[in-house]
Amino acid sequence: MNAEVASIKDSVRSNHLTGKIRLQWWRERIYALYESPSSGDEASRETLLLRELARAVQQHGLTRRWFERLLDARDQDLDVEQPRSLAELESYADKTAASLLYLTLECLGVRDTAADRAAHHAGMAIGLATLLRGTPFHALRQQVYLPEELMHQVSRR
Amino acid sequence: LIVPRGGEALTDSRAGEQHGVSLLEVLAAAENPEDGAKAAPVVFAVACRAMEHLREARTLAKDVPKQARPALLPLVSTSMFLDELEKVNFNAFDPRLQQRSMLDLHFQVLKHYFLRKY
Repeated sequence: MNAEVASIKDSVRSNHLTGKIRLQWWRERIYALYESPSSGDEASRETLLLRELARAVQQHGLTRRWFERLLDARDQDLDVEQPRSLAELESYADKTAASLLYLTLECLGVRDTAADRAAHHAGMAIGLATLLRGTPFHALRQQVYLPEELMHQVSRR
Repeated sequence: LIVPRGGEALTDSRAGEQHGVSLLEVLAAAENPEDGAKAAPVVFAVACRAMEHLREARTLAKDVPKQARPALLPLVSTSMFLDELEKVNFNAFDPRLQQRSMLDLHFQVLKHYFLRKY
């Protein structure tokens, strides 16, 4: 699911609205999973991914907030051209990568403060590193995620 | 410390003097990896922060229950990437960064898994 949501921005580079709509679709699916498990069941037969997701949610009692945080961050990302500061970048990393780790921990049946704190830091490390790794890829798409504050503001040549 | 309005602009220009890399230069580096060296100070700053978090997470490892540790295995890949980044002097565009050895990654992940580390 993360791969799917993450690729939204890249695939709808030209059309801002389509990206919003696709994120909204995901929001509704997640909402359905939690609010009405029965109708969620029907909807989730649509794709293998949703079916597995529904199963995981039921089996492990996954927290809905992590899914929502993930979607929120991707949603905001659609509006952002370049992050202003390192702090902004960290918050994005936290909301995406760390949320996934929290979900993984829940899948393993762990509710533990130390694990959560470790996941918080791990998430930010992973998020920041992924971003650096993606720099050439993003640059090819005329996109720069290095924090503006750390870069010099340019005189256009 | 009270930062007056416009204080941000000040830090911006200071950061600029320190690093001085333009958006256009970063975009150009996609075509020509050698230009990526210009962005290296910025990449370095971000990588340092990532390192700090990595270290924090690993210091906490002893308090993390054993069954929870596999969840943090993605860190192994991150850690390897940061090391490689350092080897190419923080040029994020260096083509060598794209040639990762999958075998090595699997080996490292397995090693960490069996040692119950991350």
